[in-house]
Amino acid sequence: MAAALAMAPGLEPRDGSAAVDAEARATYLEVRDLVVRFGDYAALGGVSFEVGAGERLCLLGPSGCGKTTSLRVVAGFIHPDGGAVRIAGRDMLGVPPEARNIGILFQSYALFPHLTVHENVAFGLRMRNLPEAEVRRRVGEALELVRLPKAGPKRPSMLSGGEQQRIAFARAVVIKPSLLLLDEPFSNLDARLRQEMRGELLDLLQRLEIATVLVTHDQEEAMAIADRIVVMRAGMVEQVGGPSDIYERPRNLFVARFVGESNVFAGRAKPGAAGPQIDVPGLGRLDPPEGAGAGLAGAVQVLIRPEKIRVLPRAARPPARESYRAAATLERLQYLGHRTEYRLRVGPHSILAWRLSESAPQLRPGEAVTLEWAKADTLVFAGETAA
Amino acid sequence: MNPGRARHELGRWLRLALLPAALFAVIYAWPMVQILRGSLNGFDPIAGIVPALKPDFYVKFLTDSYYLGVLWRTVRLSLMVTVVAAIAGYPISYFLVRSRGRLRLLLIIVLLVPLVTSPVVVAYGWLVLLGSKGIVNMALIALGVTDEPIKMIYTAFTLVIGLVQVLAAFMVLSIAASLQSLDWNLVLAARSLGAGGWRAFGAIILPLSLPGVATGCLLVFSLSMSAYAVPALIAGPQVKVMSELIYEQTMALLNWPFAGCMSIILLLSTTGLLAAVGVLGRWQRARQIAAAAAEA
Repeated sequence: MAAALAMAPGLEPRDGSAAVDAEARATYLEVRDLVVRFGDYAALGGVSFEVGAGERLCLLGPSGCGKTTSLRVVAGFIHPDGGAVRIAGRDMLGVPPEARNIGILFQSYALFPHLTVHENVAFGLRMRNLPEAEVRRRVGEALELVRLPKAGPKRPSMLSGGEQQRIAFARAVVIKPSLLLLDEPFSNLDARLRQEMRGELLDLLQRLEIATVLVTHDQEEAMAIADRIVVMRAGMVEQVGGPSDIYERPRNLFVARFVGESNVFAGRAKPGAAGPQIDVPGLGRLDPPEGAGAGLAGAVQVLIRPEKIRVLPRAARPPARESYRAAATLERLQYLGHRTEYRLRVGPHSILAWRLSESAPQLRPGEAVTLEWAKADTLVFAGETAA
Repeated sequence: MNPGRARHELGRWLRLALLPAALFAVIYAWPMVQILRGSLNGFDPIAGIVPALKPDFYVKFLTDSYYLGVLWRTVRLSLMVTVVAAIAGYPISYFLVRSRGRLRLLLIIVLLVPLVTSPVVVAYGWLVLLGSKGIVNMALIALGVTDEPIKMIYTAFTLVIGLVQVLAAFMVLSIAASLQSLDWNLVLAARSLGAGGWRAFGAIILPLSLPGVATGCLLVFSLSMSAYAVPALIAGPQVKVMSELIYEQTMALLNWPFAGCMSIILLLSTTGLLAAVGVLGRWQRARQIAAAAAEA
């Protein structure tokens, strides 16, 4: 895939606040040019990111992208072949995991099965040789924090999945870690519980204000929890930004397709006097807004998010300013409660669009309709094929 | 489930259990009953076995310090074999579980070879190594450590070494099985919580692999208690254990009732000891859980 080039559709950043905030914060965890090789295979090929004090950062990517490896390097379980890890300015390479004071929430929770909940939470405090009275007090507080104050005498196996996760969280934060690492924390929960725990975890993290690195392959999870997201692929960072940056202004087709659903069309760009003209077979000619997409030529990919496309009864009203239109046929309509999904055909293309149900037009399959979307919502990337 | 269906299930289960139960009765239970019954017979050196129903041989065994001495030695040496095998086997198991590919295969082969090798070969190997003209003694003399060969073969020491060598596989594979099923993230979790390598081992790995150690000890101890070939060949008559006494009574003196009596005593002392340890362990664990519950 060619180096992609976003067209920067909206000139005004609609939501850059998270990124601005993060820059204002002091860098707390600094990961610089990490390289990890397993034999001939480069698991990490120069990964860099920073986490500010109290910031929540998410490493997002498909399996095998190196996100978990990065986490393990930060934790001290893997010694990198190159690069640096600094926490609060202190070089961490060569510091063993037990001396890093990092709390980790494992995917499998990794609760000690032979110890009670109380002993599990007390483990880190015991390792710090704290007086018994303090251990008891802090374990009590931690169990209170996760709203399981009576779980102490139980064995982990007697708890539900959600309860186990809360205990694992209590165990990770009771040591007052300088950094919290969450490794796919929700993947072992069923869908409903996952949503619930996500909200609960976010509340806890906001209350504790610990710098946090979350690893996940679930973009919704990443957006819901993180202040900033690092999108990774094949051991490299593809893009770093706030959730809305990543979603609204993906830097390349991979990021765009990984985060959220999209309609992708192949087209060709021709340089013109007032900027490039883009021909998309079956969709017509698109002329990007002034100043955008300068220098594009040759094969391009055009991307439109489903929720950006308005589905109108044919020729309902004159076109909105700065927008494109296309004639389409409604093939299928699915009412999903809060939103309605439309599957439409425009020439050779099958297009997905959705609207909130309360503002969805009444249409029947087979009906001829008009699609309309803002020029600003049309993303164009240089490149031959879909990633 | 309704009662009729439950009865049907039970009937099916019983039919399935019938064949193994019959096999067990014929090839195991019946001979055991025969030995027990035979051990209550009398014996006359000239007339041979005299049918009777008297516990005379049991009284004889349990009141004679020689026989009790042999039983005690058997128990003591078996315990030594078990302890040595556990201590030596644990690091090997750990290494086995952490190694991959060819190295692992090689280790397993090395472990299993003594098990499938004839005890005669094993014994001869130790003789070559430890005999009075063996490699070790020759080396010691050549180095001037000693003037005369040290007696190493035909001692309790060689018996323990030999049995450990043969039985180590049971210990190592039992421990390896429990280490294998251990979630390695638990160790990483302990490390991240501040436990150094050794503390993580003591707090997490060791306690979670104890069931494997217990299984290994059970196997090695019971096999040591009844081992015959290795003790007979490399320890010989000077370090007599129960199995040799039984062999002597059966084959040389033809006193089957006494041999049967000693077999029963060996069986009971082995299972009795194991059961006692098992009960003790369960009691200990229950006490720990109660203590933890009270604390929290």
